Amino acid sequence: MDNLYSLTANELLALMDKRSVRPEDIIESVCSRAQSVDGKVKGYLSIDREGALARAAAAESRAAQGKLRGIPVAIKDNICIEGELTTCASKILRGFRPPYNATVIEKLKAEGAVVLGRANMDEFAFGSSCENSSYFPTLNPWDTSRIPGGSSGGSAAVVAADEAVMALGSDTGGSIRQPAALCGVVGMKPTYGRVSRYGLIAFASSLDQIGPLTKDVRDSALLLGVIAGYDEKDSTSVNIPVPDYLSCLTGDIRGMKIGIPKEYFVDGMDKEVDAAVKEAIALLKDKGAQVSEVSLPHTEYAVAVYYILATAEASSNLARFDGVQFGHRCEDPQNILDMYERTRGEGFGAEAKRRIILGTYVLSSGYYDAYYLKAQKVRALIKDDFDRVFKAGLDCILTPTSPTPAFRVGERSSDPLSMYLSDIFTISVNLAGVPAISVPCGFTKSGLPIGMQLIGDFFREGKILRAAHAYECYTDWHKRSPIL
Amino acid sequence: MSIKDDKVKYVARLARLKLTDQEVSLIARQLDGILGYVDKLNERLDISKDVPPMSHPHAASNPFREDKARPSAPSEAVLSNAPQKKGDFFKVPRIIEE
Repeated sequence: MDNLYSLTANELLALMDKRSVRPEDIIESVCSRAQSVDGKVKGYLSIDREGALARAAAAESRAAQGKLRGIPVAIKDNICIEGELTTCASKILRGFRPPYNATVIEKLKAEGAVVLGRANMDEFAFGSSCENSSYFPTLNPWDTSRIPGGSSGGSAAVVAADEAVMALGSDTGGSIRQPAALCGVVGMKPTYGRVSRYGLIAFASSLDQIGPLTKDVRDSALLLGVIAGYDEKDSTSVNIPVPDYLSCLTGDIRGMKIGIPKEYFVDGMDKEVDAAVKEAIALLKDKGAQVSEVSLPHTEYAVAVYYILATAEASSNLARFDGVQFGHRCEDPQNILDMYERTRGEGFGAEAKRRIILGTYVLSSGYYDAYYLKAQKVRALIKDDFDRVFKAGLDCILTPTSPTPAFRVGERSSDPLSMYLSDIFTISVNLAGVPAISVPCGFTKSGLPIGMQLIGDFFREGKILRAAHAYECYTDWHKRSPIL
Repeated sequence: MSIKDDKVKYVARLARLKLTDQEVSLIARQLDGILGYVDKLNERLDISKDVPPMSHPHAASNPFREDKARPSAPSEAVLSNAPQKKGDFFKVPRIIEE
């Protein structure tokens, strides 16, 4: 039998059904795996082995029928867990222990899942490489001289390295899908409003969504089904029923209408990424998908729109970190203004400061119309692009997830714009609000994972899961594991 | 549009954010690059006035909960993360002059 840590949640649940494995065995296996490899990957900020074992024993008796009974899950450090350190990998929240659980944590617990540890991230989810963590950078399990992607880099890396069976991340401009692609795992950003954001420390409230990072599509469907649903505590969550996502997985692509947007195959894209995605398109066509070229003409403006709207919202959301109610406060403030300014100057890292300044600038008097209002209008045009192609009958849109495979540590950290452009294929999805999933679709010659993205219409997660799962049935990229 | 250091200092004051002189000039330089890129919205795209600005993916409506009293979080829990507290209050430097 394989090591338990290498199995998917669905495989482990089947073993537990046969009573050949206990939840404690799974926790032990995954914890010792993490102990032996996390020194290289550095995906975790903390692992709570003893607590996880105790919770696994409790889960076994309490939630014998839970959909995730005994499954260890890593949680990105920006999702609140009652009484547990939750810091957004930021100095300004060092020591913060939320007095409540995020709704997704309540939902995981109700289904018997076991929170194993806190996954590293770019500070406040600002970044695409996990280098902006105020603790330490996480490294790519496939090549530890490279970044794992970000901002949910820790979540993606620990799933890829078999240090967690599944993980939760958050995605504002690609922060689940891009690290999933770069680490060779499956990452899904649900429709805006599908999953409650209550207890997710806000970055850009009109774009943020929590979503699953998993070893395969079946696990993604399983975890999404647990965390999705209306929540009265999040006024932007949408009250429509959650379908049974597992039953959407037919293993067959025949008849599905897939659009290929020409704007996503651009000059300067990595040749191996381009070739792998085109090969995947040819395979799906061969298996009976109806593939056609489509156009999303406002794609080229997405990064510009995003960095106006996301920083504007972030500058407003981060106003709450002022040294009054929680987190860091500077020593010996002279007066209240001094306290605010020094607390924030000391507590925020370089990228957070840059985004606060940019966001405040585009909202400031005299620039609001030229930047913020204009960006909101172009956002509407980007959403219209998606509405138009889905109304014409497409089931999903297929694109590369990231224009390149994982880049080297330090390669882009001194040039913010080049870092921002690594999200060029993922950002439009957040601006429109539609769901998308990234699945492994190949490897470079040097052994780095490549991911492709399937985008669906609003609340049609079932369709992109079906297409992604069918692709998985035809290929075995998702079964490869890094050697650590 | 070129961003001068004093502009960054002004915005930092609005954002209640203390920056060192080195941070100010670094951010000024980087914002030049970013805003230069972002300016393509103004240079290349002609938007007719009738495009409504989009602030949110779904049609905005304000959800109301039932107007019924319910307990809020205990003040002990809310104060547990306070950098400084006094009794049932968050303690901050004096705001009103004596």
